[in-house]
Formats: sequence, structure tokens, C-alpha cells
Amino acid sequence: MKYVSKIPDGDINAPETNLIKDFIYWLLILLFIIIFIYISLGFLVDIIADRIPPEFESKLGYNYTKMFEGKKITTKEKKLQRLLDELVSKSDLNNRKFKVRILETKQINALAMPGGNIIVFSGLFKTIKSENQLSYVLSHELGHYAHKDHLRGMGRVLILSIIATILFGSDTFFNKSMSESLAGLQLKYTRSQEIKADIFAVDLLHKKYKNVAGITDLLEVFGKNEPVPKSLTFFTTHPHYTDRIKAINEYIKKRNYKVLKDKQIKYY
Amino acid sequence: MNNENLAIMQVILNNLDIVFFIFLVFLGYISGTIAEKNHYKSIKKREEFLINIPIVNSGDFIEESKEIENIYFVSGSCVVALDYFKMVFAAIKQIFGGRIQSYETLIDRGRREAILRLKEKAAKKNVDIIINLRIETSSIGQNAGQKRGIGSVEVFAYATAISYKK
Repeated sequence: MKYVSKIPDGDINAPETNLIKDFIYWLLILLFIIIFIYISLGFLVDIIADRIPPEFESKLGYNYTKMFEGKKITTKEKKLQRLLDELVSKSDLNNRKFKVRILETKQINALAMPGGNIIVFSGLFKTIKSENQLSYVLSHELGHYAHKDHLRGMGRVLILSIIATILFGSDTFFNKSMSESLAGLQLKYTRSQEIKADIFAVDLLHKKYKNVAGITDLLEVFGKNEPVPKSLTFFTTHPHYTDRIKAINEYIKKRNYKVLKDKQIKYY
Repeated sequence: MNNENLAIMQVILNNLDIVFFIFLVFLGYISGTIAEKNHYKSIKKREEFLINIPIVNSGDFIEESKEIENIYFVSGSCVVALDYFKMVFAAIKQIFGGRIQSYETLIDRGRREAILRLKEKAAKKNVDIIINLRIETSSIGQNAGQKRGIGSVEVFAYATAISYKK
């Protein structure tokens, strides 16, 4: 029997397909699913965050407080603590304990850590002009506690990395690059969370001083230090300051709060 | 540089891993497509050139009227690398299931190239027929041994070649 070989017609094993079309198709489906899971789990985090008891929260905060372990409380911190206690006693959070520590760094920021630990960056004191403004910064962080934003922020980051691990395994390039970059967008608070915390701070300041001066000035100074154009605010972790200033001014006008000259007490 | 450009630069630098990822996918697609097209061109050309040597998997095709002069062991192997685009495509497709076209062409190229090399080796020995072709595949490279992701694929083809007395 004689065998005669022939070239087969067409490539059955490797048919010509438009890979890029398929790629985009499946990528969009994947993105849609991730966004769906992210949003639905986000709601779940919101529900959970409201129910986390303060004792458990302070356990979560342990890692953050470890940073200051063995460091003596300075007189500056004592003064700051006194101011914070006064503010807390005037707010709805007066049944909880809050601690404030100063971190030596050039950065201008303050953080609300789990367990009621507020960290103020020492760079902030160069910008702040009065007690009123300092109270605003502390009240803003208290606002995050009142709305449980610090837990919500953590929860979403947690859920994102869980999704990435389930989908792609724990040590794949996808998990590393994707969860890191996605989590970066969520590490700080959303625009509406910041504005809500601002409004909480304005209310608290009014309760304490009957005067809400200096807040917008301070935000303007912050804005100058972070020159991010408005078109790029999606990528940055903080909302654009002009948005916040606008929202605060509108709120002050609505509630008819007084804007007197800053209380010029050097508390710190 | 004004403030706006500076801020754009900052955003790019902050998200450098995403930028790099997109760049790699894009680069993988372009270079992978070019490499694949050229490879298939060469494969088809050589397949036509070597069509005269039949490969069969049954001894029945050995012509009994002719006397066998030599029997050789012939082999051919080939390693084809994945590009980044194919890898990402496969990673996404592995979630949903179904055919992974990006791997299909890769394995197909590897097999055909290995068989061609085997045939080229056989052609040098003036063989008349190749019987009992076997193909082995293994994944090698940095990700070998892992369940997910293949660095590159190695295809090894081996067979018995027979030449008749003329």
C-alpha cells in the first residue's frame, strides 16, 4: 500500500481568530463582574462596619498604636489631647475614648486609625495658624470615626485583595499588580466621605466656638501644597480642595453659622 | 514644566505598575503577532517542501516489495515562548473556561516545528518513510511546575525512519 501525503486544507488546530477582539470582550466581562462584586461587597462592608464593636476595633488598631510604643507623651501631645477631649465631650462620640499622637514628619496630614487613635503629622503645625484650625483638623478626623469611614476604607482594601486572590491565586502577577494598584485608589476616603467629615467638623466647631472661621483658609493652604489639577482628581486619593471648600461654604451659609476672626490662642 | 504637567507625571509615576502592565500587553501583542505570522509562513513553506516524506503510524504502509536498507531513530525538538499578551489572555480565559486560542496557536506551532525539524533531519539521511511518530510536550521556563501560567512550551517529536534499498 502506497501512502501519499498531502497538505491539509486549512488550519483546524489553530484557526485564525481575532484575538484582540476576544481579549477585549472577555476583559470587559471580567471587569463587569469585578465591579459588580466590588460594589455588592462594598455594601456588605458598610453593613459590617456599622456593627463592629469598639473593643474589636481597638484590636484592629493595635498595629497602629505599636508604632508609638515606648515613646513618651510630649507636652505638645498633652495639649493636643486636652483639645481633643474637649471636642469629643461636645460631640455624639462622648462615650468613646480617643487618643492623639504626633508623628514627626514633614507631611501635612492627620489620620484616623482604627481604635480611636488619631495621628497628627508634625508638618501640619507649620500650616495651622490658630486653635480653631487645629480643632477643625481633629474634628474632621472625629467625623471619620462618627461615620465609620476608617473601617469602611480598610474593608474595601481587604475585599479587593480577597477577590484578586480568589480569581488569580495568591502568587500570580495578576494578584500582585492588580490588587496593589486597585487598592491604592481606595486607601483614603472618597470625596463624599471627606465632605461629610468636613460638615461634621463644621458642626462641632460651631458647638465649641460658636464660630467657624479659618476652615476654608486652611483648606486653601492644603490645596496649594498639593497642586493637582481638577481633571485628575479621580486618580488622587483626596478630593479636590475647591470642591470641599465649596461644600463647606454652602453648608455654613445654609446653617447661618458665624465666621468670626480666628481665635488666636497658641495652644501648641 | 508647569504644575499641571508635573501633576500628570506624578499620576503616571504613582500608577507605574498599571502603565507598565499595559505597555507589556501591547508590546506582547505586536511582537507576538509578528513572530507568529513569520513562523507560520516558514512552517507552511517547509511543510510543502518536505511533503514527499510520508509520516505514518502503521507498519502496514512499509512497501513489502522493497528491501529495507536502513532504520534510523529521528527526533526534532522546539521551544516556543509565550508573549505577555497571550499569557494575560489565557489568565482571563481560565476564569471563564473554553478554548484558549492564544495557547492553541502556540502549541500548534511548536508541534509542527518539531515535526519539521524531525523531517529535515530525516531528509538528510534520504529516508523514504517515517513511522511511529510520537510527540511529547512539556512546559519550561520560570513558571514551569506551577499550575497557572506557562513560561514557554517545549515540543519533542521522535519517530523511526526507514530507507529502502535503491
